[in-house]
Amino acid sequence: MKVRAGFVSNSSSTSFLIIAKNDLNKAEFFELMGIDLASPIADLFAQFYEDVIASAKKVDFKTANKTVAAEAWFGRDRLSEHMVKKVREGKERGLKAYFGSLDSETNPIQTFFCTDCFEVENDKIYFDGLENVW
Amino acid sequence: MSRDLLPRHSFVLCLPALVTKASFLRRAKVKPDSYAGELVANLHDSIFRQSLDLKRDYDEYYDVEYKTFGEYLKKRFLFLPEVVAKCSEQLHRSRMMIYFQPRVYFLEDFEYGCSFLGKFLEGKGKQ
Repeated sequence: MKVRAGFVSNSSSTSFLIIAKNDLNKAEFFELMGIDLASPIADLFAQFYEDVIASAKKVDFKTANKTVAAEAWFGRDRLSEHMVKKVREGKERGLKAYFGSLDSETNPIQTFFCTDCFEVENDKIYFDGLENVW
Repeated sequence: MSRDLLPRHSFVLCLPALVTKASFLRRAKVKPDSYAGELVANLHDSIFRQSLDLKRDYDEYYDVEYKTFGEYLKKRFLFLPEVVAKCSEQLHRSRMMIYFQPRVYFLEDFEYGCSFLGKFLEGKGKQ
């Protein structure tokens, strides 16, 4: 048995994948989450939206190089099987894909969403926040 | 609302009445079957189902053991004197006094937590 003496970090990060018909925008993001823009807790989801936009790499499959495999844009080893399936579907349909990660060290709101586990979808956006190893 | 100054921030919510889940969701302006709705519904459960109503607990089980509500708070929960005083002051003005220990990080910040919870709970009269 090895014993570590010293500081042990308990930080965490979690990746997400979004497939969207349109460029991601706050109004459609709020609609997906089920919250009114005038909600008294809109700031919570506004911060979440900002964090998602700030950390995501975007690929528009309508204009992206078709010879590149869908999953290769984000790194195959960073995507779960489920994400690979979704990103391939996104490519076939010429949608936009956003891939990024949230961490537990940036701000308390991001920490909350980073440690939560969810998958939500409507007719405009699919959001995979299942990759949570917290 | 009052800070109890325990190491992990928690709140004593002094309320004039129960806030139903439907009302909670309405105040939050979230759709019930959505991700945001689930988040708010879970918050409601953690306040009204999983937290202790100090007033009820004292009235039903501890008023024989502790002469006053203040003594109950001080000896059973080790609340600081200023918190005990504030809670005792609110005793007859509140129907519920919920000892809420949030499990989400963003509510552990006292100022933000007060402001956040106030948006849901103060509609029926600020305490």
